[in-house]
Amino acid sequence: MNYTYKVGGINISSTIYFPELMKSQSSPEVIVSFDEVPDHLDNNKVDFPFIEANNEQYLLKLKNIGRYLVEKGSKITVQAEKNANKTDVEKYILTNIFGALSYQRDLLPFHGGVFVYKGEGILISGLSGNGKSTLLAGLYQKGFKILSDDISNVIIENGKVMVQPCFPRIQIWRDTAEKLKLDVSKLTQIRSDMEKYLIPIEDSYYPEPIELKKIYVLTNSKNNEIKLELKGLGKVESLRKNTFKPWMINTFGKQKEVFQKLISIAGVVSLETFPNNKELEIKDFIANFIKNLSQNA
Amino acid sequence: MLNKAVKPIWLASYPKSGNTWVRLFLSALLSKKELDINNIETDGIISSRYIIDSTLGINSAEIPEKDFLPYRSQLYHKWANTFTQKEYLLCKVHDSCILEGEILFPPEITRGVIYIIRNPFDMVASMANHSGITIDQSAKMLCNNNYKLAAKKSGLNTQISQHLGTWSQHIETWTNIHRDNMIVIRYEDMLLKGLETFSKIVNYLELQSSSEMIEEAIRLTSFDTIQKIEDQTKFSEKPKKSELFFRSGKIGGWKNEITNDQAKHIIDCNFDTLLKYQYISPNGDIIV
Repeated sequence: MNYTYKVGGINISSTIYFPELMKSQSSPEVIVSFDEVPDHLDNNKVDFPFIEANNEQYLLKLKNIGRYLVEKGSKITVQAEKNANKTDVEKYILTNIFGALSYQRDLLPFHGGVFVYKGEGILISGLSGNGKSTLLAGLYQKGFKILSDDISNVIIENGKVMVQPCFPRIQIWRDTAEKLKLDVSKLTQIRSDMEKYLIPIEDSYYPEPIELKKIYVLTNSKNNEIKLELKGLGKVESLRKNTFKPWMINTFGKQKEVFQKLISIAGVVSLETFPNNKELEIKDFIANFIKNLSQNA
Repeated sequence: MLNKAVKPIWLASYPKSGNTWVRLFLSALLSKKELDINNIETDGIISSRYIIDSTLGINSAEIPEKDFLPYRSQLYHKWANTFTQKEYLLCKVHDSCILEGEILFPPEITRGVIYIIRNPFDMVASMANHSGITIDQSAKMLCNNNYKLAAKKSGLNTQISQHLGTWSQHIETWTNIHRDNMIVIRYEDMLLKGLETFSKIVNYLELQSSSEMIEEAIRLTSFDTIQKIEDQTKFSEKPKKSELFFRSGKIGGWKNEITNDQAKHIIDCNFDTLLKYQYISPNGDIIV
């Protein structure tokens, strides 16, 4: 049986059932299926332990999980390892595979999640460990609508920078879930041997594309006062650094298009850093962020 | 002799052994700017998750750490090579040199090693303060084969976990791998014989600095000076659980901080190394 979904602006048809994805009636642009995946690519251009890639293909090989091949933005093939946990194998499609697919389809994926504020989209980005998902989960609990978590696809349409909804889940670690008083026993684990969970957020999901107004880049800083409005080429470079796995831009031969898009985004979307002082309680971090938002956004 | 084909110089130590002091000294010596404890001009800590995330191709938090363990030295080498404008890198390291049979910092990716060692008796209270644990827990850590930093698996840290093992295992992993290209600096000598000891570091690194410059950098980074700066400025490397990063720094403070039983426990599990670095006498008496 084939299921059809829309994720990050892409219509897919899948033999795998994804309970977390939004169903779609549109004709599929991408086929996801289980089949044989090669060990290597003929024309590998990258030097990573678990990845091979070239202009048109992306191959991810994960120990105890399986192999994934994304081709020409239209086909995802998955081969599970023997004895791999089926759910673990399926969940990886929603992260790196989805990121690679987005680049191949000329979408611009940013690393981070988007929520709605006063009818516009605000993207939270920053390095892993700086609190993106924590903040997003906190905002969700405060009643904000959420479009996406780890990957946010941006398109430029009639001069407007639009961000696409992804799927109604936020990934969160056990420690954060406990601090936010969420019962992890009721949540789905992303991978059975890791303490990372998916929070369902259907009740606050925003399922339509929205104009992106601002990007906050979270930093790990003990100084609560640092807030820096970035401008010029520094802003473009900061935007590039916060795209999803920026190495993919060159490997898929998208440098020119992406640079043009980043210039356009830099022209209309403001960018500011926001410190996550980990000496503070999570609730204070979230409260400070909301206060800043109401003063500046 | 430095291996000049590659860039990383590892500033390796157990925590609370003077690693930050050496980095502050080098920063004061090499930088033309005023010393800023929150912008030490060395090249960060090698356990930074960012280093793995920028070289692995996927985010390190998406797979168990054991899966990328065999590739770590290769990833460090790749990261170091991105610094095309720098002749060398000075990186803080708390990991032991070997983990589960993998050499994390092999000679072929290493320009040099400065290993900073401190008597473990004085480290106990300092580590307890640093980690927000009791003196007894701290004494036991120095004797724990599985002692790790940032090892919690239920959350995401900006550093990956670092395996240290016992105080003596830690230094032995480094000296076994790098015996031909490293210097071992005693914290106590940095304090008691500053010019001689810091000159040894400067000479090993082949830096062109006069005695006056070295003395000035020592003065700028003396414990009292840094402690005063920390009083006025938050230090970004201070852990959440401790009040101050630069706490006491004295030699022999252990006499008022740990019990005889705790000292004996540390001696029993680290005897040979304590003797080798002249922290105990052959009959097991503490001589610091």
